[in-house]
Amino acid sequence: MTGRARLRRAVTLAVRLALGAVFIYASHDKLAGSQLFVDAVDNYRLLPRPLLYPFAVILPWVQFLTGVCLVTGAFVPGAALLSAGMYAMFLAAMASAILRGLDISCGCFNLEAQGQKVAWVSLWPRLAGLAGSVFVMAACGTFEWPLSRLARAGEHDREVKG
Amino acid sequence: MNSRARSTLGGAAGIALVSVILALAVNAAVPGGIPVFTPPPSPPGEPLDFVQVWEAFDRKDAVFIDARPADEYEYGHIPRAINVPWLDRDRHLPELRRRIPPERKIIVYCDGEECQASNKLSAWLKDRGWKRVYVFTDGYPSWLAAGMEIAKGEAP
Repeated sequence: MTGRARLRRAVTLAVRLALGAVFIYASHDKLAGSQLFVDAVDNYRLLPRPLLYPFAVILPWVQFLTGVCLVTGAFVPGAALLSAGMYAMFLAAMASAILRGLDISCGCFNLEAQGQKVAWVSLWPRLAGLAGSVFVMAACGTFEWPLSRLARAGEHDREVKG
Repeated sequence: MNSRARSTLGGAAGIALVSVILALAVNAAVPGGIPVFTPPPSPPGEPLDFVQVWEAFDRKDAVFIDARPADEYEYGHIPRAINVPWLDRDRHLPELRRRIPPERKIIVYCDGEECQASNKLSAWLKDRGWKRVYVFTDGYPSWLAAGMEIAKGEAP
């Protein structure tokens, strides 16, 4: 294995573990069902009322299992896809709350305290999470970066011409 | 769709499915968990007349919540009342959770019968787990007209 490939593997592992740890931490106090989490979801005023409780019961488990898979290395491509989907959803919900002028807590980690307010600055960690998830998906070979594809096409052309 | 994309989607669907099963199983097994299906919206709290409210105030056996805007609350309110303006309710929820146990009696008021904020806020509180929520229908104007003690200024 070349030094570059070893570095890429190490970075992928670090990103995977970090994403997994964040999901496990974010879900740990919501797994048994939390009225505070229902409140936090309701504050965004995005979900129709019938979906509120099922969403608040199921989402923490999706976060937890995604986190466990990312940390243990089981079903990593699928877990990274779910992770990317969840981060995209959080980003959209937060941006929409900010644009609608809602003064609400994020509901991301500590539900007991007032918690972090949703503001533009709260989008950066979620953007980093989305980027990390996409990076892990690419490292698993789920898709190919456009630049890698171009580079490979170039190599192929050179080989054919040479 | 290539096989790698198929296996990625399959993995994601598998994790999601197991999550749903675990969520439902744990929710059913853990006592005191939240309902899986959203309960129907609660009706407003039962109305209380002036005498009932005065007795509760005198015995200090209820928490008073003022549903009027902050400037009206600051101008005058029932002593010990917490200000939770209807339009600002979400911001106050964590504080209410900290300060008021679910079994505590709550009396919500606003500007009297024409004001709907107390009815709406009482239903909102019941939806969030407080069961003993009542509405002081005649509201602050009747309290003031009866010459009762009032407090002024911001909430403590």
